[in-house]
Amino acid sequence: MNTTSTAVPTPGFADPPTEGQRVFRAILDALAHPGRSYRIAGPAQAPEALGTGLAAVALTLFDEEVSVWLHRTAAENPDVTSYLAFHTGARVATGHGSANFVLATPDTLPALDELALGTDDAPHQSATVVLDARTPGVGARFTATGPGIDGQAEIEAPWAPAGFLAAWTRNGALFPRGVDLLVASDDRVLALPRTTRLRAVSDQGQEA
Amino acid sequence: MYVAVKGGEKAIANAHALLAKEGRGDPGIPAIGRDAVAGQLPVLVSRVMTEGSLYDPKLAARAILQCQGDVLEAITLVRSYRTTLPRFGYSEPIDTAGLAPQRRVSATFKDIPGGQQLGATFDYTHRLFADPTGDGPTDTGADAVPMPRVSDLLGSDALLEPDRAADWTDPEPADLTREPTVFPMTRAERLQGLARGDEGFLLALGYSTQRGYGSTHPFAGEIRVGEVEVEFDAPELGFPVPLGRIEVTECQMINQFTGNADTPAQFTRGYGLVFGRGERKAMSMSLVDRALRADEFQERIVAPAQDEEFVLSHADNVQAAGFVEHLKLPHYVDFQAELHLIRRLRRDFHDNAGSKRETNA
Amino acid sequence: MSAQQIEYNIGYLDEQTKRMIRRTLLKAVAIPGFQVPFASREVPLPRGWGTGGVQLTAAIIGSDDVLKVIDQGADDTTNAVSIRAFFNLVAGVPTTTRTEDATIIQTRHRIPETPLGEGQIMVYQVPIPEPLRFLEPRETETRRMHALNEYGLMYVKLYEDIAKYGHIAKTYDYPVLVNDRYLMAPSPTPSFDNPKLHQSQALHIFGAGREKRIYAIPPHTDVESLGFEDYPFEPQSFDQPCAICGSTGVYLDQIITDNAGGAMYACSDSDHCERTAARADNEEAAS
Repeated sequence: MNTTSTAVPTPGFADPPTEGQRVFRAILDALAHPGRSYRIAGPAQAPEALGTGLAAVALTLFDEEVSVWLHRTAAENPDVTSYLAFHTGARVATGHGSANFVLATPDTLPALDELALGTDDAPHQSATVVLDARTPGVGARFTATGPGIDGQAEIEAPWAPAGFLAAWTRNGALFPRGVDLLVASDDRVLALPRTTRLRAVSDQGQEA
Repeated sequence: MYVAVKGGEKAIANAHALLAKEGRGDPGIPAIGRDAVAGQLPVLVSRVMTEGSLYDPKLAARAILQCQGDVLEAITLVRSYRTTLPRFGYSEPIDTAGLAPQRRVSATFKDIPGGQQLGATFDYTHRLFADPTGDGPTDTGADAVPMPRVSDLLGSDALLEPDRAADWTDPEPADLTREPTVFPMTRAERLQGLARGDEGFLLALGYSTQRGYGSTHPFAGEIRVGEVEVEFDAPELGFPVPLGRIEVTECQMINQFTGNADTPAQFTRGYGLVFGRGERKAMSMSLVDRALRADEFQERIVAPAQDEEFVLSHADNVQAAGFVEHLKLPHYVDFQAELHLIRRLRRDFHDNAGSKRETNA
Repeated sequence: MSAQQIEYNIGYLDEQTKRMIRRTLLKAVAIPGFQVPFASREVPLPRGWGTGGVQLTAAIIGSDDVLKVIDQGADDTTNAVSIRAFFNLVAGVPTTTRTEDATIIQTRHRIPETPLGEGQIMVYQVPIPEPLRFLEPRETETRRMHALNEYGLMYVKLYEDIAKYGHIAKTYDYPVLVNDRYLMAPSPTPSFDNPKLHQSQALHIFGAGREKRIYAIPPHTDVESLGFEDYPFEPQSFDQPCAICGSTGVYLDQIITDNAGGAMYACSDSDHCERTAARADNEEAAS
């Protein structure tokens, strides 16, 4: 990772094994119960461009074996790059097409089908998108079905970027290939695995 | 009677106590020390280090003692410890051409630059019981004569395939212990698997290639045993720092030639490298390595030793021993399921036989 | 080195290994029933004795957890005792035998009789993760079959059973289709337990250490045991109740009681059996 900052990165987890385990379980629960949000406790402080939620996910899942694509504001922020380099050792991917993890905001989310999608042989070799939900997207409400959901679930998704439903539907059609999505705010995480099917719900609560 | 299956905790504790007692032998005789094992059973220690994938003679000796001489248990113990060790980085490749051989033989040429050196070997011992003598030789003859590798000598005339293909880009080798096994493997991964593989299994497979099951026409190009420097390239320093010396045994097998309209005929190679003194293992490894390169030379794959999935999936004795021995674990539930079915099938059989008799009557 | 005291990490696995397993597990949950390769580590158990389950448990367990370990349905079999003791030694987590109190249940060969609830995680020790392995020994081949959703080989095998024996001759590790896509081995649990996987409230995760594969069934996922229209899947059932607690509709162990082949049948789930028997005793005392 290139960094021009000489500042010492802000501290990571105070107790990495314990905190990392708790954040991981929240992420695991979230993926096992799509659309449901779980509490995560991030590090006491984190670079502003990352936020404590994304920092918690990074500290929990990233290391030298992982490549990460960062949206422009984060990539150009030495606080973020030095933080990730120091605490995780993750490699910064230059393009989003091959990264294991893709860190984006609703505004900067690349087209999902341009990300690593895995192969029919190895569908697990696909990207996990970590969406920074601190700034809203255009927003939407969905009805979700699929593994992990008892019948169907309603998802309030203020984070949804423009055109998300169509992109997610295309992603689902690729199954078993496809990306998985984590949505993190400062203290909560929810997930949509590639198996979750979404339908739009209009403002009146009717399916559109 | 249901209580009979309880009390697992106490049973385990008692079993451990009994095991310790069995391993101590006659308490009137001094216990063997780790240093004694490391110093006096070096071949055994080498095997545990090689198949345990950890160069530490004292630790291997400790494992052998703790496991009461059960080599596979000792290897398991070393591996389970090794896996917890933090990785600080990766050493530079060792340079075996630079090792000062304590032993060096070639079966391909009568004399070679640097000469043949018999060294410590069982080869010409008469296999007669004899009392040990600890006196060393008067002259070890270990002068610092350069000893180029025989494979390099042949290679300089292009009679032997080069160490690496012309289009070799020197990719970082995958690490079998840190990345999932996926077939087909690269040769670097295969060699890691073979180095960790069971000596007996590789010996039998190597032997099978000599008997026509995937023949490779091997010649022992060179076997060398000696110490070699391990260096670590610390990025902060910008130059490699020596970490210490390890003893290794290397075998370069020269095999069957290939050639076609595009490439002139040349010999091919098989490679073996192990920790410490482990000639038999290094030789077996090099035979199997060559056999597993069948695909590369468009050879027909007809024998077990040429079959990558078969060889690499079954070479690891920690895995093999564990799975064979797991049959000792309770299988009441699945056995009951089978009993249930077999009773039902027998009932069906007798019912059918009965109705047949009735029909016939 | 050996002069030093040897110390192992808390929880045995190092943080880097846990992260690797955790990332693998997340992909396994996202692709229900698909076997994700992982860089299985050596753990201080022989391969084949639950090294996959132990690695999964070590990667997910924390101080908020309560662990239950069963082998053959029982908490007191030596292997269950040994694994429980291992986690007590290296992770210091509380353990229980009560199914509903456990947050993580590591198992070999059974799913508890007590229905699993939301938030519970079942960790299975898996010997052979590939359901097609005994029909096709090559990984390269079976990988292709999964990629192409080509499971004809398994149906042929089941059909041959019917032709030969009049029944599907598979009594444990009975193949299932997960989320209508991946053929999956439920590990050597009896087919009796298969229906418990369908639309379960718990998360089921499977670890094969020696074979280096992790797979999962999320909660509320369709899990269909294979069968044919005219020969549908039939889980095994027992005619008699448990000789100790009187439960019916549970899986039973056969216990040989004398030299003449006499036998009694008792619950394989020791927790279920003890508590049902205790309840019956209390009711008797109360009446």
